[in-house]
Amino acid sequence: MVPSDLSALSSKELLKIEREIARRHSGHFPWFMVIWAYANMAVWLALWPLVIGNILPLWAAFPVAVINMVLVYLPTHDAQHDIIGRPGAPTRWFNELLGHSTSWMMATPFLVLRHTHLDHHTHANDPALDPDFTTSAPSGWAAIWRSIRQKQPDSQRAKDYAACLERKGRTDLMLQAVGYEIGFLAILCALAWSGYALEAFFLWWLPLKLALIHIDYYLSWAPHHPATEKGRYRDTRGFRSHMGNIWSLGMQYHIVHHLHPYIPLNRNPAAFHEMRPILEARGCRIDGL
Amino acid sequence: MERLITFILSITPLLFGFGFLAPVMTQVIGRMGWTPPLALSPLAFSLIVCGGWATIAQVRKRWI
Repeated sequence: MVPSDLSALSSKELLKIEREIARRHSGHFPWFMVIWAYANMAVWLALWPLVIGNILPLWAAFPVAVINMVLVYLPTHDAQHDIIGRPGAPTRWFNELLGHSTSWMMATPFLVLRHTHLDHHTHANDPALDPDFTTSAPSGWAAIWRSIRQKQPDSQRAKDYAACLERKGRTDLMLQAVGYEIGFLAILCALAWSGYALEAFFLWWLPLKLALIHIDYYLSWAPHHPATEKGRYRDTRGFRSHMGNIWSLGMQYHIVHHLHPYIPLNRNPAAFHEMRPILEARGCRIDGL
Repeated sequence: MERLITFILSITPLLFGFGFLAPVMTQVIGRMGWTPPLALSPLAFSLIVCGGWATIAQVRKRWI
């Protein structure tokens, strides 16, 4: 229970209460995220035989594939933070399995996602060290355009990710990333020249690109906008999404994730509402929530 | 091996344009029932258009 008057509490005491709340919302096996991960993958995989077998029209499968591609990142993201199984825990192997077995849908190795994302947490909003700083933009539309630009061959983000892996001494992962990229291209080309070009385009390539724009917008741009401040309580914000919490992938409460990244995604809203008085006392931005 | 990977990466826009976009466009032309100009086959037309775009992307290092 958060005391009604926080003004008399020291910073250390506030942190203690904050951590107690976070602990209550973490540590349980996140069945919800696990079911999400594999149900989502099963639906996406099912689209292929359904479309190729003329059971489901491609125009109907395309929006489902976009949703699948948007949804695949979030369980992978929980695995990046060891939420399914911390190092040394009996479920650790499953944490790693879930990460690896889902990230291929995004044509990116799990370990590349993990190392670059953890560096984003360490250096949020630092133009030189935050690998995701290229998502910062003066407006939402500018963020969407920037996201599109960062998927071009001259992308600064690819360079930032490479620099991050180099700093972490994991240049070996660059080879994995290249392997995934070439493998993805090879699969697309093989499908296309086998007569399944439209299926490859509308079930994988285009949904992935649209999903990555959505993810850049809601997971990176919106919660860090305007990306000018650093520090535990100022580099991330809570925000009210006009499109609601589900469309924004639960990222209205991203501030809780940056403060306590071991809380499963589906527990962040409840943790936020309990922590809210503390966050306000800390001077956090909880814009419109 | 490293040279080969570097080479493949350096020509990714060309591979994507000729290897993926061109057959996608060919199938779109077929589904829509369009007839390419100059009596070109759908595949030849797609290779020219997508290959041209890919060549520009290869030089400029950006598709759009």
